[in-house]
Amino acid sequence: MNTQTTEASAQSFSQPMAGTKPLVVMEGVTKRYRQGDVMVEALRGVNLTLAEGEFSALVGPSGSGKTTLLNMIGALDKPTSGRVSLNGTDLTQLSGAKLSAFRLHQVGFVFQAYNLVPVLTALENVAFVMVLQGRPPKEIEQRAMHYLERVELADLAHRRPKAMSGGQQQRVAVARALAAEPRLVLADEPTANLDTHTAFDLLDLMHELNREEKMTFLFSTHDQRVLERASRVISLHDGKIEEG
Amino acid sequence: MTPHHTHSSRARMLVFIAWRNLWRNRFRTGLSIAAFGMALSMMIAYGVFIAGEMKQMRGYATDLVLGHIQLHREGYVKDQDIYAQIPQGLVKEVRDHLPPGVALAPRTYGFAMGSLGSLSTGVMLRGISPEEEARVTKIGSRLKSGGFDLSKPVPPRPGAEAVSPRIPVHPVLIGHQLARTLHAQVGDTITLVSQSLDGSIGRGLYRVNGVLSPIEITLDRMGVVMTIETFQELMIMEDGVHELVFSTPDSSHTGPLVRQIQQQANQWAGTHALSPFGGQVTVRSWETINPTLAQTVNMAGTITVIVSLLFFSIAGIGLLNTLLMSVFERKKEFGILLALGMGRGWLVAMVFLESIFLTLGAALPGTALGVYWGYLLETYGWDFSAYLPDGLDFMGIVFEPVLYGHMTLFSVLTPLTALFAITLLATLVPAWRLIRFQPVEVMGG
Amino acid sequence: MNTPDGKTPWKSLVRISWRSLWRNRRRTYITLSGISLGFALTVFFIGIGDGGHNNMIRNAVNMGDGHLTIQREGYLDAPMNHLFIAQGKQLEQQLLQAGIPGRVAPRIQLQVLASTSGNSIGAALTGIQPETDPKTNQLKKGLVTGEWLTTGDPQGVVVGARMAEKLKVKTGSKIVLMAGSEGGGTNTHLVRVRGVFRTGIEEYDSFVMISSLDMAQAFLVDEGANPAGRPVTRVAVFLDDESAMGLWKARLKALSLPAGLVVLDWQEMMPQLVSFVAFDNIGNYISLVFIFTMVAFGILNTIMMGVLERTREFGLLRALGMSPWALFTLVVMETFWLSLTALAIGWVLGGGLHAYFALWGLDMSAMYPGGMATSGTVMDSVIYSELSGARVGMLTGLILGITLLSGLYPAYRALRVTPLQALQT
Repeated sequence: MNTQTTEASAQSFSQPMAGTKPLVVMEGVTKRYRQGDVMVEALRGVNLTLAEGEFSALVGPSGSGKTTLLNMIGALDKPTSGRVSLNGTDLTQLSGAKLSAFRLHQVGFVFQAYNLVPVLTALENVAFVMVLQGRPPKEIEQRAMHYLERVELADLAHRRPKAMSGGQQQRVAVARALAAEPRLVLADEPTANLDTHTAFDLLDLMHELNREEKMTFLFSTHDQRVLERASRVISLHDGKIEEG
Repeated sequence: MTPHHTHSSRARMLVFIAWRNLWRNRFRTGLSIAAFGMALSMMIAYGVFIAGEMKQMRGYATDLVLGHIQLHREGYVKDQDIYAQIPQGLVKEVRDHLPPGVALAPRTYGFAMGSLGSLSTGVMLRGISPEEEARVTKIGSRLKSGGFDLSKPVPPRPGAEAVSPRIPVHPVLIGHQLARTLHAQVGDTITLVSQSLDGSIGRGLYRVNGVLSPIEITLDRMGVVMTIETFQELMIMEDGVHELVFSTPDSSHTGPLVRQIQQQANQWAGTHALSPFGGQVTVRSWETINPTLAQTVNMAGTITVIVSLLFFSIAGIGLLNTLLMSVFERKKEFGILLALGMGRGWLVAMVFLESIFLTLGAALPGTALGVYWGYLLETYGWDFSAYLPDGLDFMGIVFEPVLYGHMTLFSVLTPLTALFAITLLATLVPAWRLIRFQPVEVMGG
Repeated sequence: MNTPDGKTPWKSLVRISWRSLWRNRRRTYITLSGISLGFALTVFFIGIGDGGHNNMIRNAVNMGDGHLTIQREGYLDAPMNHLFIAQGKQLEQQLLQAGIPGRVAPRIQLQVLASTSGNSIGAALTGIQPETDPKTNQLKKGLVTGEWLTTGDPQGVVVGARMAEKLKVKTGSKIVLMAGSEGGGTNTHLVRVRGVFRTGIEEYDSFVMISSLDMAQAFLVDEGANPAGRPVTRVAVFLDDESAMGLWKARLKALSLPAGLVVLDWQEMMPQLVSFVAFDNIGNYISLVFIFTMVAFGILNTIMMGVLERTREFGLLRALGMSPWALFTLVVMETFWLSLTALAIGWVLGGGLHAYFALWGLDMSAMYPGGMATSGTVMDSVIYSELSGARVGMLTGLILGITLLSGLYPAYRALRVTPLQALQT
């Protein structure tokens, strides 16, 4: 399994996988924001295309703009200039409420920490986004349980986040992201708070799901150890992409 | 650095940290200050209001109705026996030996039927000596219409029923409710029919010179006030009065004066024979005459203290919440301070300082606002005349519908003290928790 | 392709809001204790206040002229003895046939001057049916000496103990009663004391004199009444159920009563009592405002802290696709649960206080040994707490309203949380 991954990543290191249609297209994206008294230029003209089914890593030192880039793709934030489109929809043209709806149905998120609603159990957390999507209760329950099984946490279904380890919490977040059937899962430093072993386990799980569910993943990391698991590595430096 | 220096600079640092801590959660601190400031100002205004009400009650009772001390024959106190009179000799004796500043007014009482036109009702007669009455009570200043002058009748009201000029007419003042019952106004002539002391039926015409504001419930409903001479003429009472009312400048210590007058009266009675019926002479203070009212008036302080404590306890629970929250969310910080070598005692002191700062922050604007409200209450009063157009009668005395506050140091300090007491009490809980923090618990936060 | 946002996920909101409330248990407990204690205190104040007022009103109604009074128009304004109801018997019959659940008492009320050789004082002479009038119940048991009156007794009266002392009379003594007449003259009648009662209420013991209708009627006959018609000055109606007063007032008005008669309720008969209750309520309402202000601050503090420390979580909910208004609703719901729980505890505590004082009463005899006389009536020295359904509804509604209001600002703060705030480390 590991060998395959390495081969795949070696092959696609310099360019998007050939023969698949683009899911995310960023053109000339810049982002400036004010932090205290200084203007920060987080992104300085990013051009990026992600193909469907990719398992890509976004790397760069802290402060290089990784989170900002993910926010743009995840419709959490708007660029100062440039264009971002996901699955053919121009995100820069959408209003707040539509962005909300867009996010709900198209994007799954796995954050660095505090991923779960603390007062809900693992199962309820996985179900939550599907509830917001307005799916029928029966389907929600089946899918939620199914994905909890997929991340091997079925026996912790009724535990609250407080009673789970960091790695378990992240896996629940992954299950939640997938259960909602998004086009794309964005993970911002999902392994940052985990020890090496748990981090590898989580990435393996994500990669497995990427292959089996044909789910597109983009995760940011500054951890060189996990890079070998990515099928494509996008490197961000000072707000610019240095790929290949 | 001497240990003393360490101590004082540490204390200064503590004060600084405590002050800073308070402003870390601006919303919470602001809210607490607003809540306690509000509570304090309301309590101060409440205290001022109650004190004012009690002062008004006391003032009414003594200045308008009861005076400070009264002298009667026992038979009059017990049965309102019209024959239980105070002989003129005794009146003179007491009057001649009054201590400086003490004033005396004689009164007589009786009943009659009063009528005007086709309306009639039972009335209570009160004979007074206008000049002396004016020195003891302020009845003369409490007229709804007309004047207090009882020297001669006012001219008849235009349109009033004509009276034969040959029949003498005497001036009277009547109660406000009585005026309503009889449909009488200033200038009307009422007829009084009574059973005189000699058993015959007395009858006379009386001009309404004035209508009294509500003061006392019986006076208001059925009172007819006249001079003692007029009273004696109607009731065929030759000598003596029923009541002597005294006022004294030292109204809070009536005891010695009561004993002095009593002794004087007893001495006189020893050398002059009192009429066989009517019993002994008895001298009583207003507190003895209307104990319920006196008790209510004296309750003012207690009521303010109890209500302050009760209401501040509710406010105190809110403070407890704020303080506990701020201590628990800072477990880690306390751990660091402990690790840096700050003793637990100092931490506790810091928490106390924080709550004192918080209370002071609330106390200053709260007191200012409360005193302002108190000032408004004292100056403009609170007008309840929409609810009580005829005033409020309580235990026989009728109070004005405009209630005024009375600001004393007590009415400001009581809620303030209660606030600080409750604050310190509420701080004990987080302080106690702080002492019990285990280092591991603290560091692990 | 864009599916619109799903309907508001009520179930999730309820679940999250309820559980969030119990996340910081200590804080919630303290807040709850503050609110419920304040509320219980309010229930106690209002219960005792209402109990005292109702007690005063009942005393006034029972000692006075019933829930409803029928008398001549204008009598209230100017109680003149010639304003009598000539056909008293007929009116009584008419009222009895109406099937009023309660009692009908024909009465003659007169202001008289009572004289003996010992003294002469004003008195309120009340002529009643000695066997059936509600006054008999109250006064007969207080009889100190002598006998109660009998129907048809043309001369007998019973008097209060203080009046007896003032007039120096005992059972068998004679008293001369004098009443004013329409022409400005006077009418006098001689009566005999049959008994002396003591109630402990000064107004009663000093001023009240009870006679049979037959005795008091003599004064009306002087004014030109025909004794055959059994003239009275008023008919008092006592209802078994005081809440039916409005209904029966309307029904009695609808009867074809003789011309010139009016049906008055106790509020119209004793307007000063109505004013007093309104005045006294101001005091209760002030404490209500005070306590509720504290409650509002307590809730605002707790909910606001809960919102501020959960900015991240709200950001997450937003990032996951929850709408701002759903967050707003979430916080309002939390406030609602808090106040509902506080109300439940508050009603248990306050209800307990109320039940205790409704059963055993609040003894104020240390302050008012003989009851408190005010506004023409008396409040007993032991007060029993009373709460009407309307009061319960008002207090509950007020707390809910204030709670929800104080939840608005924190809810607004939650509404403004952006999804980006979920990502800030």
